Amino acid sequence: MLAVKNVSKSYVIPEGVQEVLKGVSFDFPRGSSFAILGESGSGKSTLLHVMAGLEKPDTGTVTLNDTNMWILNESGRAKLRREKMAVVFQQYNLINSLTIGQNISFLPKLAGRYDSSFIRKTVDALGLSNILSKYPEQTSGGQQQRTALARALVSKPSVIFADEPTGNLDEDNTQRVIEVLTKFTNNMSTSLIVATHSELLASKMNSVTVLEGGTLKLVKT
Amino acid sequence: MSKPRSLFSVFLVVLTHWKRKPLQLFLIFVGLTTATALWSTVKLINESAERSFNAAQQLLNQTSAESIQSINGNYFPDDSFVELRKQGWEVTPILRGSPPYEPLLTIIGVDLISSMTSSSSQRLMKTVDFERFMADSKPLLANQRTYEKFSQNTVLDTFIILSDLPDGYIICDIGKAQELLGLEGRLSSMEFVGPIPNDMTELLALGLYFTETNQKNEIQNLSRSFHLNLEAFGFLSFVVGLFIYYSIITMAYEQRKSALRNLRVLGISAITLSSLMILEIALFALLSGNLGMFVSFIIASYLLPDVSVALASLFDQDMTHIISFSPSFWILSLFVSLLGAITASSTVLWRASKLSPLETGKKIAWVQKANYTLKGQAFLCVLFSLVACILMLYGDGLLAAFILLGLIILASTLALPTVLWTAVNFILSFKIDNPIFQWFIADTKQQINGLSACLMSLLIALSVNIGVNGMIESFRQTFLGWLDQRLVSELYLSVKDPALASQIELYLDEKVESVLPIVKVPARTKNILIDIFGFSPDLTYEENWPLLQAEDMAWEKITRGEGVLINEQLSRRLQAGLSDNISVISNGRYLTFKVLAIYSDYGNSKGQIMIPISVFDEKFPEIPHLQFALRTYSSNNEELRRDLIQKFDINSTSITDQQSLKDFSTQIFEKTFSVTRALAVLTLAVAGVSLFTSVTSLSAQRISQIAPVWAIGINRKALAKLEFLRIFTFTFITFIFSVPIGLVIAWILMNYVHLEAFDWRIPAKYFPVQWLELFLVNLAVTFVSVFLYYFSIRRASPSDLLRVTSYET
Amino acid sequence: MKHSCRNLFGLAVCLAVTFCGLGNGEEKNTENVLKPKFDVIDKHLKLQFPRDHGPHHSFRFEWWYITANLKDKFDYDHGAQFTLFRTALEPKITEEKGWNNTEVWMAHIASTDKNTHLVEEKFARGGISQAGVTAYPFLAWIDNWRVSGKDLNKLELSVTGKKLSYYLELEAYSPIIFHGKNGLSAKSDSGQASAYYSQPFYSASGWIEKNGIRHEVSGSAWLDHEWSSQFLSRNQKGWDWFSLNFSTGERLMLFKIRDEDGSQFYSGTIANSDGSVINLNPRGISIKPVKFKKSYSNYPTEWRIKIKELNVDILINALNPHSIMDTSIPYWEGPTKISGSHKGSGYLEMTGYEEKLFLKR
Repeated sequence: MLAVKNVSKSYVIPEGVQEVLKGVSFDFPRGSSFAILGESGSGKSTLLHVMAGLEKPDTGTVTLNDTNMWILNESGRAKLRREKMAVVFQQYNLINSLTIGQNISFLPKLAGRYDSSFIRKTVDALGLSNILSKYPEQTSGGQQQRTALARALVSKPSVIFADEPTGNLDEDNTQRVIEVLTKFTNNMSTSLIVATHSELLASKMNSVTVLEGGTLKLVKT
Repeated sequence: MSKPRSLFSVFLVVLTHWKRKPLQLFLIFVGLTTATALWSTVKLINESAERSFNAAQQLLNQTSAESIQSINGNYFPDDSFVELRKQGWEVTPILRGSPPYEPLLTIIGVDLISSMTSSSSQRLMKTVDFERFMADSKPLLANQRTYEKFSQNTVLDTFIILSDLPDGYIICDIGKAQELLGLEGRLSSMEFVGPIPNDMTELLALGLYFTETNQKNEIQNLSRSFHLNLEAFGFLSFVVGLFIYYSIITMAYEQRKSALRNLRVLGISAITLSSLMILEIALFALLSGNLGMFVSFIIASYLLPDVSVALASLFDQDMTHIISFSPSFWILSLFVSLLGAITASSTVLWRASKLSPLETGKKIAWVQKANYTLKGQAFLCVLFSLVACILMLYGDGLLAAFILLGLIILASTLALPTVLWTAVNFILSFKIDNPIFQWFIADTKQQINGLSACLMSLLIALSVNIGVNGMIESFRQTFLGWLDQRLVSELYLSVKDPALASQIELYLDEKVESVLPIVKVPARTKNILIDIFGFSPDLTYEENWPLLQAEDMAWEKITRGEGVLINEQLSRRLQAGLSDNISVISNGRYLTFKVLAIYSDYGNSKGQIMIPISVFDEKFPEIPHLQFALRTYSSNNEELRRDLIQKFDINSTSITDQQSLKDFSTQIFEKTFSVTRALAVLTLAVAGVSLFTSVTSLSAQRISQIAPVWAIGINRKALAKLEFLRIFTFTFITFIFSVPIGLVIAWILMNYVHLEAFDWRIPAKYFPVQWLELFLVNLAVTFVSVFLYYFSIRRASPSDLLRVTSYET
Repeated sequence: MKHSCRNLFGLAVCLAVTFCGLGNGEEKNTENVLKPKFDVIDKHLKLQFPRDHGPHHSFRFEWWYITANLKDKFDYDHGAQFTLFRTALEPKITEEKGWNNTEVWMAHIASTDKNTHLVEEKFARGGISQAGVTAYPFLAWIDNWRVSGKDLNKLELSVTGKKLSYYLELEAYSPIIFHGKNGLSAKSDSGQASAYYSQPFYSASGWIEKNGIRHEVSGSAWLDHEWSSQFLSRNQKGWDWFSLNFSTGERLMLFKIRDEDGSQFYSGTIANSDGSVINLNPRGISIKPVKFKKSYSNYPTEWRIKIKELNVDILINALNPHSIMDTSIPYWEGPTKISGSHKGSGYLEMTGYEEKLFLKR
């Protein structure tokens, strides 16, 4: 289970201090999926980054299966990230010196959970099988987004954080991605936490939350 | 966009890039300033050295290769001059000597009327009008220091300061010189100012002989090679500086491409855009060109004393070392800086002139791009290598040798990216199934293009260092070994008076183990000027002379007068081998000698024939024994030395001991190459700066490439280590590659450049310890270059890493 | 020689002073009143031979000049010239021996035909016997160029240069002649004058070798000997000098000295082969350039000469208009052809046309 307690985070910007998160507390039970809705700039990405151990909160704790990740040192957090989590970034964060195929198999290999048949299935499901040998810069935004998703799924993490995973996709592909996402997370009892604008995507999640005024509220289960 | 004002605002937009990237701007200046500075430093050194050398040479009439002197080495009467003139010989008289009260002063008396057409007289007449020189006050020409030193002794005389003259020399009218030296009606030599007659027999009747020292050619060859050497270095440094500039300007272009595209969208033509970029480059080039000139004046004035000392010891003359400012040279340097900058920016300018407002066309993966570049470079590499091969087979002369050197350096530089690529692929072929390893390799390959410019300059610097040091060390060891072999006698004695010389010879016969006279006479064979030496065949020579080739029982045959030894230089020039006959003309006599042995004669550019002294005396009875090598019983000869000085009232400088002679020779050598070595080190330093700048300016870009890997779960420390390992891998491979290239350079230097310039081959030696040293330097350079970068990654804030700005690459 | 001597500005000016006679006694060394002065030619001039065939060390300038109009066996015209100049930097009574001698000797040789004009030049310092003149027996030499004979009646002229050599035997058939009053040749109305005598009656024979080809030649020759310390006045620019050998046997010497303001000074002497000499009335002499082609470096090479008292009206044409003496001080000197009322051949010398040289000064 992933638990966020009293997390606040502020940034220093030219106009002064901007408080993005003001004491967010929330529990994400294992195996369920959450959508985080909120306007642009409401802090959705920040919250995801804090939960994924990428950004340190000013106050509060983030615990994954009773491990407080901000007590760990950097290596410990990196290990945790490598082994338990997967992040799908808004800008995909693909490694551009590697091919699409190498990008997808990078994390499972790193995490020691390489499963070639599972990878093939995932790749097929996301319609990426014919671009595996291409490099990211040769593919479209949608393809890159799907690659990022595939990379997250194939490492079979206990939790996936996804920042606007359908932001660049047309309707068909959105449908397809949602299908794959929900199906895979259900099968692997992986938690899925999605920050999104998409009502469609949000509707497919177990629970929907809204980030507003720096706090997170549950709106639908 | 024709209005100048709006054009200006566009220009400002173009320039804003540098406001955002001050480091890049700084590095642009570093590159161009370095390029200009090193190039013009070498130019300044060369010009200044050459100028002061030529000035002194011209004034002292020393360049005159041919002169007439008296057979017995004494002064001869004015009448001999008149006699030759009456026979139509266009000669001019010279009286050279030191007054008894001032042995350190050399007075040179000249006659401007009979030497009117010579360049030395014309130079003089620019300073003093001839009427005044020969009639009114008969002034003495000297430089300021000589004037201050010697003017007290000649209170009644008028001095004219001529700064071109070397220290300790006074030039005046020949009548005045005769008076000052107390040698009325006497001359010391005559030089030709017109054609040289074929028949010289008339001279013998006058007790004179014609000597052709080829000192002129020798000096010209040496200084030409010396200057070419420097020039090559200057050029290399220039190229290295441009590489820095090139890598930065290319990177900057990629970063500002979207901004430039926006300008295109706003309706600014590609031509306008690239014109503005040319303007920008010109601005950089002019600013850093000027800066470079200042820097070069500083470096040159620091290095020049060494150069002067080197040349001075080579040519036995003091040099004044003044760096003079000339506006035309300044402008030339700016022009060179500009030309270099434009050339190095040509690819960027080409791309800018083709820049379309929208990103179009098929996307090409970096792998394909890299492949294209590699293929292009490989093609050029092969092309240059082919030309180099042709040159190696058919080229002739010093210039060809230098071009060959340049081609080899260029070709190997262009081969470097391919070598790196292949090396990385080779590592990859081990098929290690580790994702980080695979990523590391893939990323390394991707980096080759970005870093290749600075790695190329590092390669040039490393291989040139290996090559030049290899040559210098080979030269040095050979030369020192040869000195040890040649300078075996404990003392060397030289006197001017033949009568005194024979007295001393007799006296010494009982005092020392053996007295070995050394005599020489200039000679000519097939239009080559050489020296014939007479020596006493002695165990000393047999044991110590480094013979390259010899017939059986060569020494015995030579002692019996059946043949001679010649040096390697002469053997090469005449293509004469063992048992060949060599015909020479010397002092009006035709002689033929059979070659029995060939000896190595390093450091000498003149051909030599060695004949037994008995044969020499028989052929040249007019040449007195004035120099002797003394083999003594003990190694401490201070007593004997003092004894000789006291007993025969000879100058202490007439007796030289072995050690000081060796020291002197070594010193000449060291000075000659110290400048070359300094420049080699400087080139390496510049390459280090280049590596540092490239790595530093790459770091911003690298952060974005590393961020995804970090996000996936590899900590910054591990990433920083990998980054360091990557750059180290590059410099390591570059170093490994530079060793064979360096050896090739050394080989060309020794077998082509040096052989062309000096006519003797340096036996090549290898110096792995030096390479190791260089490797450590290389490692240090890598460490220093990566230092900042390493920490910038370790300290990168997560928010920086998360703010993944995507660069177009 | 051209390239080297043009740079010798100091010397060029000094010798220009000599040759073009632009110097006069008081212009140099104004700072040193104690310095001895050069002698001047005045009415006390009294020539004595053979003494006066030799050099006059107390005068600033002096020259011995030989020109010859010759023909080879194909009737092809050749001219030959030999000049030995002496310039003293300081006046002396006799020649000072050794290198402290301050006289400079200069010699020019030339040979001209229709197509070629070869010139060579030599310099020497006095006092060391590299160059000089002795009166009896007569010898004038510089290096290996020499004119020698017992006296002036029979001379051998022998020069060996780089491209040009010649050997001529000269034999006089009439005595020497004096210009002006007993050899006092006036050069201006303000007193400038020189001592000037000639031997215009030589028959000449020998050979000329140009660029390696030898031509046997014969014809007539003319010797001048002239010395002075102040030759021209300050405003005089240069002169046009003519030596004319009429086919009828008379010899005519004419010169015109041109002044800056355009005025001219004329002088002339005519000699018959019997030895009688008439100094011409300057007012009856007219010497005018006919053709003035710029392409010949400012030198007029065609002249019309009229002399009233002799009924002479002749045209003078240069054998080779390009006869410029490309020496350290350039001038024009070459053989001429005479046509009109009288026929014959001669020599023409023109100085002071090289604008630059004089501007520089």
